[in-house]
Amino acid sequence: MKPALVMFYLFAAFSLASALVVVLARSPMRCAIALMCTFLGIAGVYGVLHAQLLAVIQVLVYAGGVTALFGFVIMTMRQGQQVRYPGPFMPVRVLSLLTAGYLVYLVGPVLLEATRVAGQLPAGYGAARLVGRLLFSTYLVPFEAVGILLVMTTVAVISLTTRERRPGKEEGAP
Amino acid sequence: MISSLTIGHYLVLSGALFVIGMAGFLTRRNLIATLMCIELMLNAANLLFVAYNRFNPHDPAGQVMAVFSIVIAAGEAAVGLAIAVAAVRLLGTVRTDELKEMKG
Repeated sequence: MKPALVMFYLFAAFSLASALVVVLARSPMRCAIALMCTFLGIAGVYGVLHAQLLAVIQVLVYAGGVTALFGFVIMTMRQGQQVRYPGPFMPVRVLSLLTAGYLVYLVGPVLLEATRVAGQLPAGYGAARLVGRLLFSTYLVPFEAVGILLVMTTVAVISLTTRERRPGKEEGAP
Repeated sequence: MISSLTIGHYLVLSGALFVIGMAGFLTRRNLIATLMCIELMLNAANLLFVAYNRFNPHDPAGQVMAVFSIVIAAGEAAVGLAIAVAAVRLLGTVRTDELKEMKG
């Protein structure tokens, strides 16, 4: 087996296993840690795909930023009683298994035929220079639009989380 | 045994990640865990962007799209968590089966 294949299986198994932990673990903090492991595994897969810039962004933004955000929010909330809720009803389980089986039956043959092997890479593929140049030339307008979107997100988050002050009770008023 | 990496490998990995995220999204009752499952699904989509770009490497537009997608997903996580914080403050819970304010 080629080393790239070994690395792919390693990272894929790691991210799938931690994704299962995200879905199955009861404690939200454990979910957040597993989510970070999933993101790191996907960053590894990006590395196998020779997308170095995206691997770095994945580690910085997802494994660093988003997971830390989740962690902080979980820590500020009171850890309530871990109530055990009943699982889905039996007919629902049977129906979902049937649907999943039908989906595998539909999609499976297509996946088995998807045997395209990656060709030669052009020089500098996946490096910051190539992607950055494209970002600042062809995709300049979407790039700026994303900046505006981020500002709007910031304003939305601030307005969602600040407490409303009652009118007539100004701060510093006697 | 397939001896080299094909596009099918990435399709299977991305599909499995998406399905795991979707199952969690439908079954978890904690709002924060639901958000995490949405992140899983978005990551599966990003993986496809990058994988298909690897198989058409002369135009790195797929990677640029993945960058945009990552930024938007980060914003979505921030807004979702802010909604969770507001829900805890106003209603005292993040359990999606107890949040019934909008129920008709």
